[in-house]
Amino acid sequence: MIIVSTSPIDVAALAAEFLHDVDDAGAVATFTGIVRREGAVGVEALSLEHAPGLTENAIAKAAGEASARWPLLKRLVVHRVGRIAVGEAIVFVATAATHRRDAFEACAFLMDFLKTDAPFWKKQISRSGDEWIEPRAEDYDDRDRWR
Amino acid sequence: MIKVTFYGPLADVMGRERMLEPPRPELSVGEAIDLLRAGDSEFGNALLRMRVRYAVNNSIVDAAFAVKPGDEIAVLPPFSGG
Repeated sequence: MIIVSTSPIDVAALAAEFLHDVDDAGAVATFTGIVRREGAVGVEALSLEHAPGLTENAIAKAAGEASARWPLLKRLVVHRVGRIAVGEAIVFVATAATHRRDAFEACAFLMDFLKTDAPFWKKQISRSGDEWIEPRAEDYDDRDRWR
Repeated sequence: MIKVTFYGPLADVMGRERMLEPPRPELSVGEAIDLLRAGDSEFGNALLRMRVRYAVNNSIVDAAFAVKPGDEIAVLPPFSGG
């Protein structure tokens, strides 16, 4: 399932729900991304924008690719948009598989996709002003390792 | 008319959307963007600063993709999610 929402992500509730009905799975991997303060910069929040329709389509395509590459029993991608305060979750990804490596790798693949290839735009709101953020070189390297 | 929409840092420069009257019934995304760029130096400068991708009607396409009246082109600055 793919959810793009302005509502806060309730990680505990999502994880508990995902763990329901996974009798055939031997492994569930979850990843939670959090807005960090970045001490020196003094980040107060991130403001995330997406392109409704396009963003969901792009994530669905990547999720389909994940299922084609690893034998997943279930997958979930939840991405928050709008203003997200420091300490709040910005993204939650969960994958279920028979064996751990498939769950880990599919989860990492989906996260690497979300950082560089999903239509989101991130503005950092800090003491020193607002600034649009672009992925780091490492983020593109992380994505490229799946090619 | 062709609707052209902008996101992220490009929306700061261009606003959310512009309407483009196509000079012929079918043209490529790249040609449509060149028409907008020709009339707007700020847009031209912004395109020099960032590598954009395009979508038409909610699917990512390349600049050679053909558009016609009624289509919607989205101009997408570098993505940064997660």
